[in-house]
Amino acid sequence: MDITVVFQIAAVGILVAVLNQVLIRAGREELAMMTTLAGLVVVLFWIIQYISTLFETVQTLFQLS
Amino acid sequence: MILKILGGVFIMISSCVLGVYYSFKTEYRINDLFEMKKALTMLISEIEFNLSPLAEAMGNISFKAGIPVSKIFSEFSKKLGSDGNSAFEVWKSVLKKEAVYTYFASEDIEAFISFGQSLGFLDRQQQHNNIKMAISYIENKIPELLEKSKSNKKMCRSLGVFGGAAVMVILF
Repeated sequence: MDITVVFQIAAVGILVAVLNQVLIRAGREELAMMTTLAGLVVVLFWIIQYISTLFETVQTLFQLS
Repeated sequence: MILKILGGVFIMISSCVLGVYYSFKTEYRINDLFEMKKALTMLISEIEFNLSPLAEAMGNISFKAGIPVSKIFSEFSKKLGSDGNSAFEVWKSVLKKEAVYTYFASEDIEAFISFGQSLGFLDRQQQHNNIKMAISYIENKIPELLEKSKSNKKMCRSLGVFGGAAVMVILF
């Protein structure tokens, strides 16, 4: 697994948290919510392949299929 | 790697510039509204005291008003009577054409268009009242915009910087 993806997720987390605070302070709660959702979707896109690998590993480990 | 860093720097610069531009947009709109108010006040004095015809009054105002607004008045005075359209039609077309060069929002344009509906055919007192109505729209709008620009300014700048950083991280 590439370690840079962890740092990328951390950076996106920090930025989304700051953006969220800025938008809430400006009274744009709905935009803050959208930003958080967008950050979540982007991070999910990055890690979806690793989740899929994890499921496959679990399947082979317990011989489920 | 150098190309990536260069791209990141470009993204940061452009997003910061965009943030600063949006933070100043409301201020520019307030300035334009101030100019329009000044021009309309001059129009009242042209109608009331100088008794000038509309085209001439508008032409005189265009020399005195500030840049984006003066263009609307000068175009109006040039076009009025040249192609046989009514004053309202000319006002509407000029306003829609010249609005691109100003920072007026669509609600401002609508207010000024409705002001133009009575241009050129009412008596002096009615025209005076109509101009007063447009001026009172501007006077009501400016404090609201000043309040809005205070909170928007900080938000737009922070959004520019952090949005740019987020795009850079996502694309890196």
